[in-house]
Amino acid sequence: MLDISREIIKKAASGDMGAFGEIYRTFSSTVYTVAFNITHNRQDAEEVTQDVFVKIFKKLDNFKFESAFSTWLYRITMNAAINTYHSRARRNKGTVNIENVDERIMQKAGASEDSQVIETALTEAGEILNHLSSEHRSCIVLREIEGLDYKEMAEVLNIPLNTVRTRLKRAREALRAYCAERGACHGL
Amino acid sequence: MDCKKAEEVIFTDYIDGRILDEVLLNEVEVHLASCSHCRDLERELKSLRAGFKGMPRMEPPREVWNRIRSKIEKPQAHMAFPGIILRSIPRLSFRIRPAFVAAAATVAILALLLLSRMAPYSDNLSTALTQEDLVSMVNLGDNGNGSAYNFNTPEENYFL
Ligand SMILES: [Zn+2]
Repeated sequence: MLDISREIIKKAASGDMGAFGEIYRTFSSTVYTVAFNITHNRQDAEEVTQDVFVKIFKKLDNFKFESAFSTWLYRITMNAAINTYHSRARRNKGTVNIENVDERIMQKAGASEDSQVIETALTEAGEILNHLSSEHRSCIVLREIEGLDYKEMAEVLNIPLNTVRTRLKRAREALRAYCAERGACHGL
Repeated sequence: MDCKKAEEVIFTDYIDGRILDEVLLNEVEVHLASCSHCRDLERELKSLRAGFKGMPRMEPPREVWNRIRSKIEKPQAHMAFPGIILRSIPRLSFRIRPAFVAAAATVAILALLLLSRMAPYSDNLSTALTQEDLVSMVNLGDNGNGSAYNFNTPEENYFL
């Protein structure tokens, strides 16, 4: 997991915007990527990123270095992303998520070599993630995409280590079942 | 080891390389060598995991940082005065402490030197305060970094 010095965190906590900017530069990609992989919506991912950084700025004073800063940040990000995902799901109940479709078309429109990579990932792994429950999705995102170990996942999700193991097993079973149903998961 | 037990382990700890117990690891590997069903599971899981490795890291658009700044800087502007004072207190005390303690220790040493020269009137005092006391006085300035005169932390360098 990425981390940042105590000194920077203390400076940012005392209102130093330069230090807070450094925290943003270090972690914004992580927060945004996690938020996108949970919500599958660019606008939601932007809002989650914004809310997470505003929240941590306000709460930096309370950060007691009892866990890694990144663990704390992952926890806030995951909670915000899942809440946003659920509230959009409630609003979109029974309708096709038009914005997600738009998202993919927009990705395809910018056809540089980089966006080719993004496009494939979004249409394969991303789409497969989209078929998992938010509980399973958060496990897969933290383990497979963010590379957290079980202990870190337990801290981020605030669940016992054995529950991490159980959820991860169920998430992988669900992935496997989905791929079997589709015939195969290309690239997966 | 039967398939049920093997699957349990393969789905998580085995595939994530978390099995530290060599006996258990050996049991799983012996089972895998003789069971094509569990070998298929292992292969599928490995391929599933590999598929996520290519997921891109994404960057938020620039406006996100601008929006964050405008949200956190506005409320501060309204209460800039108390905000600055409250936020400065921990830093001020941090800056003052080493210098203050060092000064206090210096005064104490000077006072002792002065008293020791006033012998024989202060015989009791100068013998009561031993070398050990002097050392412990000087060490009052020790803020955990080993010395009262340690100005090597980035924050101290910044202000000096
Ligand atoms: Zn088997």
